[in-house]
Amino acid sequence: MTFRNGQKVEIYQKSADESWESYMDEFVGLHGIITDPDAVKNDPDALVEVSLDEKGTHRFPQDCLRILED
Amino acid sequence: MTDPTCKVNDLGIWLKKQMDEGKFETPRSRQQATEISGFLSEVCQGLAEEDHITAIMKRADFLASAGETAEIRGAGKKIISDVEENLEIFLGHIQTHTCPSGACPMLTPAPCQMACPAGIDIPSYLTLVGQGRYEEAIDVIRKDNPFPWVCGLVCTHPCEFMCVRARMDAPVAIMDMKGLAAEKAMSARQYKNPEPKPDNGHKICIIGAGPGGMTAAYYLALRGYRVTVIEALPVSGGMMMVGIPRYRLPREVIDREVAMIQDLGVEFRFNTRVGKDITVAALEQEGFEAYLLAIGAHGSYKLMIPGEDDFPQVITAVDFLLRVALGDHRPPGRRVAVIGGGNVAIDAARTSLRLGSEEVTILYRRTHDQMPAHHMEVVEAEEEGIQFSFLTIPKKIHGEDGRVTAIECVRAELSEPDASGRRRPVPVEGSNYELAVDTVIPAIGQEVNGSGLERFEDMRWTRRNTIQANTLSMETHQARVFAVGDAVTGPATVVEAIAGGKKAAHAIHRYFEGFPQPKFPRAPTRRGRMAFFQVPAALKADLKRVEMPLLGNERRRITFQQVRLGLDDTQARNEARRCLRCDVCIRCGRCVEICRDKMGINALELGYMDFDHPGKTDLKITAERCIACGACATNCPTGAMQMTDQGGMRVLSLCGTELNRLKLEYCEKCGAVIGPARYHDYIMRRIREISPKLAGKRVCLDCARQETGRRHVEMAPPEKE
Amino acid sequence: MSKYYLFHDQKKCIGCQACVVACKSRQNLPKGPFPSLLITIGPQWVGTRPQMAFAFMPCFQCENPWCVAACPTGAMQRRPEDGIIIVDPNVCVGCKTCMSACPWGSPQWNPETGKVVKCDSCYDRLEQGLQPACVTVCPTACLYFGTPDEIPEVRRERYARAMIHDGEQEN
Repeated sequence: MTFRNGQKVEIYQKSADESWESYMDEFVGLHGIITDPDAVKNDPDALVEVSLDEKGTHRFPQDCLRILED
Repeated sequence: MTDPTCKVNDLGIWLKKQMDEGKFETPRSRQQATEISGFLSEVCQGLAEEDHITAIMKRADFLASAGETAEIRGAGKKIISDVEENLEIFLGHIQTHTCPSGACPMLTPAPCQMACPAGIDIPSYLTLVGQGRYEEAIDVIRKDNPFPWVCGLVCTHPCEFMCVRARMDAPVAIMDMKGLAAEKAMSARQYKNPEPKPDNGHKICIIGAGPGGMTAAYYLALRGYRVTVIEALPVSGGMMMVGIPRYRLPREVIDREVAMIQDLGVEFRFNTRVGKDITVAALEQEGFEAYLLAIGAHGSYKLMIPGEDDFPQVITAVDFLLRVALGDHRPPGRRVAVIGGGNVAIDAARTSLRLGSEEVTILYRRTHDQMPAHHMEVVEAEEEGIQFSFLTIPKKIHGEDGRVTAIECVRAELSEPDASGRRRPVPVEGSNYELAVDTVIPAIGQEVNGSGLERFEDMRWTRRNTIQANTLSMETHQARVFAVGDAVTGPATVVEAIAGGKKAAHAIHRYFEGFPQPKFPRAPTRRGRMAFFQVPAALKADLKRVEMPLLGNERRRITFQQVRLGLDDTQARNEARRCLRCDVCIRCGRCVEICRDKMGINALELGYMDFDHPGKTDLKITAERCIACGACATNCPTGAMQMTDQGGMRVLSLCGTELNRLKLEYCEKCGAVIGPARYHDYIMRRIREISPKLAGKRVCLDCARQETGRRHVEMAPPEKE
Repeated sequence: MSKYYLFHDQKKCIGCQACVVACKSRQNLPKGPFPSLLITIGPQWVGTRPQMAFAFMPCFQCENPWCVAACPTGAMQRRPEDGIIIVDPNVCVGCKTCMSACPWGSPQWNPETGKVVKCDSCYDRLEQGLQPACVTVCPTACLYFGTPDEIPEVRRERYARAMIHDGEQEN
């Protein structure tokens, strides 16, 4: 899955990645928009920036994200 | 999602319920409880001062000690303990006018503000810019971001992705408005620093003069800390200066904003690399009590192909852009291949073109649509004549006599999506070809170069080779050492680094004050509730997003002049009027529901309100259908929807957008307002069956009552005595 | 009409407004709304001296209530069991159509809740076997509440008394 700017995504699960912090648990289930994907090389391992509806902008590992169809 | 709950709001609801159930039957206690309830409601609406807490506690103490019943005394005790346990939440409501839970509608930040990593109060500054009050706009922005000018030119603007107006047509040009405000304020010499707190004597060392480090320096200096910034390069700005090319961000912009930080007494030491030019031990000796590592990600990934290390004409994009930024304006070569599809690749390509390279080609493994670079950057590069070669994988760099002559590539096809849904570029066998170039600029990613930090022994690194830090407090595993920016996130954005710098400044301050560090993300702070622009619905709907004028293409290709020329006052005035003021309208949809489902009128078509499934928005339809009953306004929890009588008209407006305007009618007897004809027609239609005669009668409620009363009175001559 | 009838004996009323205050305080109402109102007429010269009169204006609880017809939400409703017209605050959205529809100005606006309030003949008190609030506080006992056959025939009685009185004087 490559993420692109402006895509709607869902935080559909917790990530097992070390960069997942405990406060992020409450974000599971929220929807948001990709605001800064890995802007260099579509690295599946890079952290991508997601702006969550009503809950701010954060960087997440990609395995917790899935694209929402419009 | 469950309904949000807020401790302040909850206490208010609980107290009201107790009162309604008659728990406070004695007048004295009832009075105290009523007053507490009023104070709580003011806290929830952002109307309270800090002495509200004292006032609540005083009355609660009275209830707890002098309450007439055990129940009253219990209630007093509960109020005291609730306030004490949640003091921070109460103070947040009072000091920052913010309720992070979203349960207090008056204190819910707008989606753009929530989206801004730095948490800028965007609706407030947009309004100020639209009023031409640029210096006040800058004051609002700099409460959360000391680089409004930089961010007004190069921010990735997550705010615009979340802008609710985008669900109608296009987002408000939030970033460009910020750039204009900064330019105007600076030009008028009205760009000013707030008054810093008195010196508190603590010495902080910040390593790296990029956006993260300097933001922390700014907020720490304002709090009275003695800040020293140590920078390896001869210039300040970090990647803003040496990564972003000048045609996007002029050097003067950075210099001016850094000068503002210097004015606060922050000391800068340039050409000083920690671990090389100065040791950590020496810094300790100088008496620094806390460190902030903001070293960025200035290392480059390698292509891992033959020939990469053999020629001086293979130069990484980071090194190339640094060289140019420091004044070397020789063209890198005549025929340049830039490898990568991100923003840095575009920057390197456009810079090469401007330095005089004749042919610049970007080689990218995937397709145009998959390029991670920002769309506008790609478009501008295409306009300037940058060539693109997609589905192209570099294999080998060829050269003769120590000079690059060509790059060998293989064409690729996208695979079928794999288990994770990714389509990978797969090399097509035998499709190798050579592209004649004399320079190769790899731009395939940056990494943190942590050399020199070995002395911070307890600090941990992630598997991504970034500094491990708590992203709420920016603490590392080493005591007194904090870290921010690309060094923590990997290559990221300017505004994220700024956000990190601000968080770090808060955390360092909390460290010195002995406060515990936050466990949850800090909600952004509302800086005001500005008056609405009064705009007719048709204008609100039809105002198109301002188009940024661009420098002519001929000049773009040969100079480093700024490409985006900036807005003017009139454009800004109009753009500010496109804002839907989501800091006031929280898009709860009650107005739409009531008008459609309860009143059956369906005069509000506000499809933009839904994030997941935005529907059609038609601001003009309201004037055709609305009867001006006012139920929408009555039920609006924030005062976004308002119905007022002005100049003989009844006007319905949403955040200043005039949705409907109907002529008022007046009482035949006393002249009082009785509402517009369309409203009465609606009622008449409903009661026609049972009251065919009434139509045409225009008397106000009071007169109707008086008249009826009069008819019921028997005024007889006095009886005989 | 509801199955009840509220009779106001204007001869005995002194215009003290206790009924109005009791009505407001029962519903815990802020400044503004008066579900029941005492309308003062006069003072004006009637015959040889000035005279004042008072008309108590609760809701008449119409048989064919216009407010109920006008209400688009169903908040305004006529109780089938006793014909009392009540407004359900959970359903009322504050469109005020009932207020404009009522020829007597009976439904009133509560600015604190953004909903309509009205005289509901204190149906909750009736269900507990009590009298409406206004009736219980009247110091001159000029308000009578009950089914029509329970209402004392005050006017007839008074007429009879006046006749007797006249007769006595003539003697």
